[in-house]
Amino acid sequence: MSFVHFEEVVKSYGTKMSVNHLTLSIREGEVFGLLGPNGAGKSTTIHMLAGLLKSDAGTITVDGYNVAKRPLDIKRRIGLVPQELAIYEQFTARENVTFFGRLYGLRGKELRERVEEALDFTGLLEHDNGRPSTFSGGMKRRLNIACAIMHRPKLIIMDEPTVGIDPQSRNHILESVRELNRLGSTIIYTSHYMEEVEAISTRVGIMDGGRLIALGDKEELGRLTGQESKLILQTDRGSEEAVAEIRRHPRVSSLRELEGHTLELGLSEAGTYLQDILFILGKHGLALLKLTREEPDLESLFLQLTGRSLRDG
Amino acid sequence: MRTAIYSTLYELLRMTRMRSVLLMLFALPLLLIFLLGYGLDTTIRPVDVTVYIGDDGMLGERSREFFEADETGEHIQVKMVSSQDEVEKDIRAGASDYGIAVPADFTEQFMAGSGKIVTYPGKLMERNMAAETVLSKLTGQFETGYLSEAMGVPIPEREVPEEGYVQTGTIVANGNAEFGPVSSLQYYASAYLVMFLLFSGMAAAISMMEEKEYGTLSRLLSLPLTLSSFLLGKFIAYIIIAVIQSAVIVLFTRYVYGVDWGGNYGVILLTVLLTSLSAICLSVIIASIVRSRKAVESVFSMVAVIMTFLSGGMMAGLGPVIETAGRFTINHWANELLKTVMTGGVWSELQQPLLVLAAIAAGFILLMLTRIRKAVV
Repeated sequence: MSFVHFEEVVKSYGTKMSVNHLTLSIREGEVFGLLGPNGAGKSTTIHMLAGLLKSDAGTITVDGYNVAKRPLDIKRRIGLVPQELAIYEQFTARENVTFFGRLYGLRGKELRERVEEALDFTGLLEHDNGRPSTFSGGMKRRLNIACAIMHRPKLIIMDEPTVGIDPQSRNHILESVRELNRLGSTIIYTSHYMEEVEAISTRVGIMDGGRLIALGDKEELGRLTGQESKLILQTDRGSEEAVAEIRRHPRVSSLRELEGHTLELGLSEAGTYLQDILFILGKHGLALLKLTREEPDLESLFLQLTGRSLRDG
Repeated sequence: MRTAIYSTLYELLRMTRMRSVLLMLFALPLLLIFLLGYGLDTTIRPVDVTVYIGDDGMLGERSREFFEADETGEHIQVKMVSSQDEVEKDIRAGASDYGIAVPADFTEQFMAGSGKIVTYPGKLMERNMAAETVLSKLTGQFETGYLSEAMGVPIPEREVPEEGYVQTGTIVANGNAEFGPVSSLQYYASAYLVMFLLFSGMAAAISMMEEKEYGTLSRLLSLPLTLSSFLLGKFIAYIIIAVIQSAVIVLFTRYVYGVDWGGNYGVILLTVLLTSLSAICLSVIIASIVRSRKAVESVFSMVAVIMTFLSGGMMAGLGPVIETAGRFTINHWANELLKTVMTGGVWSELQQPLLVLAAIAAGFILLMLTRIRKAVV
């Protein structure tokens, strides 16, 4: 079921079209990774979704509500984690979360409980009376998240939430994203770190020049770009008959013989294959020494789609 | 409405945590008022004079009457002692500015043509001159009295200016001087109160620009609230700060520096509100043009200092051209109001500056409303 839907959305700045007729659906309960180099239009897309910008044309709906017509209803359902640290240095962690909680309309006991919950969730409960100026980069990022989730939003938009932090904090944040998703929030996640998006996203959209140039899970994107999953087999000895038989398997689109009785198989379509291949090896008396599967990675997918590396911008 | 209230409360909390800003808004004006107010102070303060009259004769009696007269008390503060040694002691200890001793046989000696009053000048030349001027009036009376008696011709007393003849300080302080009808302390207390109200108004625009530059604006815009109510709350916070700042300045200068603010605190409050509102709106208008926090700080500070200068807030009596230019500033009309209140001005005298200041505030509000979106987004 589509929870967020963009329909022919356009946004221009002067003569430059920042978002060019974007049509995109994001399902309820998924972690959607939005990738693109700087200037691709992903921030503009996110800002239009969060109500920070108005689109020039097209419609955006969240949970059935039109962003342009029911902005306040939508904003109650959204938690935005901006790329900048949107926290007040003069307030303590608890005061920061409480302030935004009040502005979300939370009051009294409910507010206190949610603030406690958000601080606990982000691992900041022990530092609740500390000011951000005394926090590490990772703690500030976690506070940035706490301020966006205390009202239990149905949709969480995270714009580069792990920029400039240590690996431990990054892992904490990624784990938090998974946990928020498990608790029922739909998540839109943008990052320059491909491995993060790869690790947590159920689907990925790749934007470039204001357009959505690819959409799907990793396998779908791989097929889209002609990239294949690879299976690497190492046997105790060679057998030309076995190689010929494997080559004929409908899922094997390519086969390369490498040194040391090693075969590299290109797997082009979905379907079972491993049982068949093991059967062929067994039939020809070959013992399997090593078996690895290599999936197409997003970095190379991105490179192939846009002609540049993601972090080059 | 709740958004505005929370915005106000949290902005006030935020301000209380910014010590440097508080210091600038509260301590700096008090320091400047003190330095300029006293530095250019021309009010006449009585000179402390210790007097010993040992002479029981006619001139001794006349001396006693002279030093005890109310008119003399306006210019010198007389302390009568019972010996010449005490006079010397007071001067040495700095307890008195000047000492006078009328010796025991002064009347007899004077009639014989050799009598002298012994004087003990203190460390401050200006104070000595003031005391000697008063003393010369007494000796003048002796001389004219003696001569008229000897010659049988009445000689008229010397003419004395209405406002007194003892004046100390660098600038004459009377109704026609640069400070107008108020003292230098009153003048600078008013001028710096207004200038720092402008600066506290600027803090509102800076806070607004910080929301933009530090990224909190993105989050605020994604919240289920109207930005106008949030900003309204922020501006209310700065008006509250301006009122507190003014109360501190008025009360402190009144009770510590002795500045007379008149009794009409309602008009003072109105002046503070209108000035603060004008300053907030002007700073937002500037923010909509220059669009960065540092630029707002620089441009607005320059505007505030220029307005203060043109309105005579830095130096009094700058001449007709600058005074005419000064009439186009917020400071001029706010100062006019405050000075009129200080001198006990009646409603008819308050009306014109009040209406002009209200019109300035209304104009700035309208202009600000058309520009605020550009300043924020």
